[in-house]
Amino acid sequence: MAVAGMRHISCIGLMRDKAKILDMLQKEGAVHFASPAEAVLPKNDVAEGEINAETEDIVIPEPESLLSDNTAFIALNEKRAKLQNCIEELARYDTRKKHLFSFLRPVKASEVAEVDSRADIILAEADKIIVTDAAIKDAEAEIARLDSEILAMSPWAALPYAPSEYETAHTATDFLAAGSRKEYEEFKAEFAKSISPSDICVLNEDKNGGTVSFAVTYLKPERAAAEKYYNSARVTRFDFSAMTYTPAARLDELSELKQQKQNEITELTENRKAAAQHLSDFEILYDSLGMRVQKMLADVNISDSSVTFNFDGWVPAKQEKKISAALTDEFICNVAFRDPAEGELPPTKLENGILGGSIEPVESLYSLLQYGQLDPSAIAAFFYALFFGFMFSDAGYGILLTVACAIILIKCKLKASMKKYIWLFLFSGISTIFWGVLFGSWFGNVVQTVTLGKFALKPLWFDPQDSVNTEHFLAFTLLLGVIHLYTALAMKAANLIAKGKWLDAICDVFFWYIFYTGEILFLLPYIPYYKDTAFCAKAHPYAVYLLLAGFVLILFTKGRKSRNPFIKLFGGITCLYSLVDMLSDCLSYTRLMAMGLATSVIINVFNSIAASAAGLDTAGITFRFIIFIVIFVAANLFNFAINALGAYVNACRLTYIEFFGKFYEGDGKEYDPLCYNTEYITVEPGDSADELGAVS
Amino acid sequence: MITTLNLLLAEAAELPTAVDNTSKFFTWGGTAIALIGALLAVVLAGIGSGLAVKNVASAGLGLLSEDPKQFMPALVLSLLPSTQGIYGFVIAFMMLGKVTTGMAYADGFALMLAGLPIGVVGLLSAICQGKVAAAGIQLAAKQPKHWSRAMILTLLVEMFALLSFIISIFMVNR
Repeated sequence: MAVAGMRHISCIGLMRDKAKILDMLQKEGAVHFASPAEAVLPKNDVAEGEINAETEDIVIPEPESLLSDNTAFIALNEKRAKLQNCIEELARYDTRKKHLFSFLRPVKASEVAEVDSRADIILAEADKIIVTDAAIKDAEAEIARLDSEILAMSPWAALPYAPSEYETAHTATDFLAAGSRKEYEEFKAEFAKSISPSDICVLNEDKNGGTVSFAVTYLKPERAAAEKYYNSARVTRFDFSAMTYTPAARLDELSELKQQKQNEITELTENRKAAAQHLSDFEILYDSLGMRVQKMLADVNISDSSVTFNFDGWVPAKQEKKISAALTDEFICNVAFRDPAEGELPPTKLENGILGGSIEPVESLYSLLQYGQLDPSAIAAFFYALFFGFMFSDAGYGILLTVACAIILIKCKLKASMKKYIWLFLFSGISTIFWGVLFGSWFGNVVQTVTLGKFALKPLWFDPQDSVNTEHFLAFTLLLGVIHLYTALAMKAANLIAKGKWLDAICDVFFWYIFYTGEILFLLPYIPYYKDTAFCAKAHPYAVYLLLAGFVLILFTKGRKSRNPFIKLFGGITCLYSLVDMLSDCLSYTRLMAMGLATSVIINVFNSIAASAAGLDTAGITFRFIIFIVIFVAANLFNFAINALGAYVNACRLTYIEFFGKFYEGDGKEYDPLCYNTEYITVEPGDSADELGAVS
Repeated sequence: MITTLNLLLAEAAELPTAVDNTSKFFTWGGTAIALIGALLAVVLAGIGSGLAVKNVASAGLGLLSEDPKQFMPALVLSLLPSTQGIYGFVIAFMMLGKVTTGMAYADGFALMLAGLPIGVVGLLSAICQGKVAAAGIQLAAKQPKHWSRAMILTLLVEMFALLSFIISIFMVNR
């Protein structure tokens, strides 16, 4: 449970060693390169409320933007994009063993080097796949085009001659379509009236009362009048004047073409299936090129001269000796380490055990902790799991969750962040079992339902669904809330004390404890369940004194840092509003009750639906029991999913807003050392790790 | 729930038909009115959640069509406004547990009122939450790394449905 201590490193080396040094540093994976812009303009310690115009303007450019016109960098990224494209395309033909969760495949360094040496052949293979892919897409587009032509042509299939043959010396024939039978009838009546002599012949009619396709024949001198009439009537005219073959012949031709294209697609798809054997090579090459990209990005922060290069960066204090030795033993280097200077902001690297580490992904979604703060991970994880369990609150679900997480952790080789998430859910599962046992919920009341009420698992503590206990349940969630909020305040004090700011800890935390405790005791007689306790009766009379004492202390100390004498004296008056804040924070914890009840009530509803649908109460026949199990499993899976999500989201909210909101200083810089940062493989040092560097 | 309903129907069928209508209403009206309350709780909150989820999920599909990897934000944000419907369902179920045959008119009316907080606030807050969540989908499209903030802001709206839910619970269990 800590933020790793960082040491500043500056290193000057010889240009001839630069590539080798970068390879070595990437293998060690410990040095976070700092941009020269940060070193020139260290961030000043800005007092609260004052904004330093100069430091505001420091914009450290992203390394990617500095390399935007570097041709080698662009070429590397293009190759990677090509490979990634192929990997995604081929993924569905992947015959290798698959896991539900993404994991990294361990690959020996020698194999990576071997793949690297074949890079050109592999990239040519990738090009072939991209060409195949384009060909498949073209063929698919062609099929779609043919389909639409077939659709347009099929109403005319009944014509015995080619449309152009219908034109004679004296008569003209037009081919038309009307939207419906009714429109056709209207057209027919009007047309016969205005253009005579004429003849209309229906060639095809949509069975569902849709389009009617027909041909009209009239004397040639009437052509202009007929065309004018088409424009005003709601019919579509088809221009077949150039069509010297019958529509039926064209249709045969079209379906033959379509069949050809379909065969082509089948063949190309088979090709692609065969290409899936290269998938492993693509993945390795993709990551290997990625490592080169990372080196180039780190290189942006290195200043070169003709003979030497130098860089600044950060190294975790624990790895200082190792890096120092690695640099100076093999290479001619001048390396200097020092502690962070005043105003410098080193990157944050969290070092936590299993419990604390489990909540790191959740924390990173909020904001990265600033360097120099105490790491609250373990405490936050404890409360997270506690609240998640309270909201999920069913021993059966808890066992399912715990066992599932345990199996995943044992069986699958996961990415680090995914592994942490699974640990978090494992702890949450254990907490769910704990609360489930206390509240007597084992897949709700399934035991009672199945045994028709003869046997029931009694809660160890109380049954929240019993209306007698509603008040107790609500009051308990408020108590949990107060504990959580007070812990957050304690974290704030601990941070201040760690920095030696004892006075601030007393004024900004201890006085607030007095104030809030006064408020809580004052409100106690209005809170269900607690209002009837002996403690309430005893403590309530002192509440007003505590509240007043807290108020006076805060009133005169809150504005102590301001230069304005009025604010200095009365700046604390705004603390009155904090009373409302505290109240709404506490009320926010009633979600624990709401989500907890929602889970268990819905399970019971599903149980009784399953029981009555299967008719369990009529006779205990095996068949009925099978129906019960089917409904029970389906309904519980649904409930499990939706309530797990609800518990996850709401536990996040309580952690972010109520807990972190009190003390957490985020916007830390991510510790992003030069290392093997891969997406598909992990490089195992193996027999000849040095080969990697030699090739790249 | 189903057994309660069956019981009510069975007993209603056995009522003597000759009972005068006014007295029948005051003997049985409480039950009917309480059932209306349960109905309002589940129907209003359900409509709200349905409308909201429809909006967010459609926006989510738009997001997925651009970037299929964003399934998690789309799923979570779409599911958030569905809780009101669940709360309404839970309250309706708890109310059905309290409905008895031959409830007095006043008791039935009081029970009906218990369904209103989650019914009305559930309806409106779900729709509002849906709007925030749909905006959250936009955020996820432009800033995929920060979608969790959209999730938290969306939860702020839910707070009010939660408070109503708890008041409804207390009113049912009164």
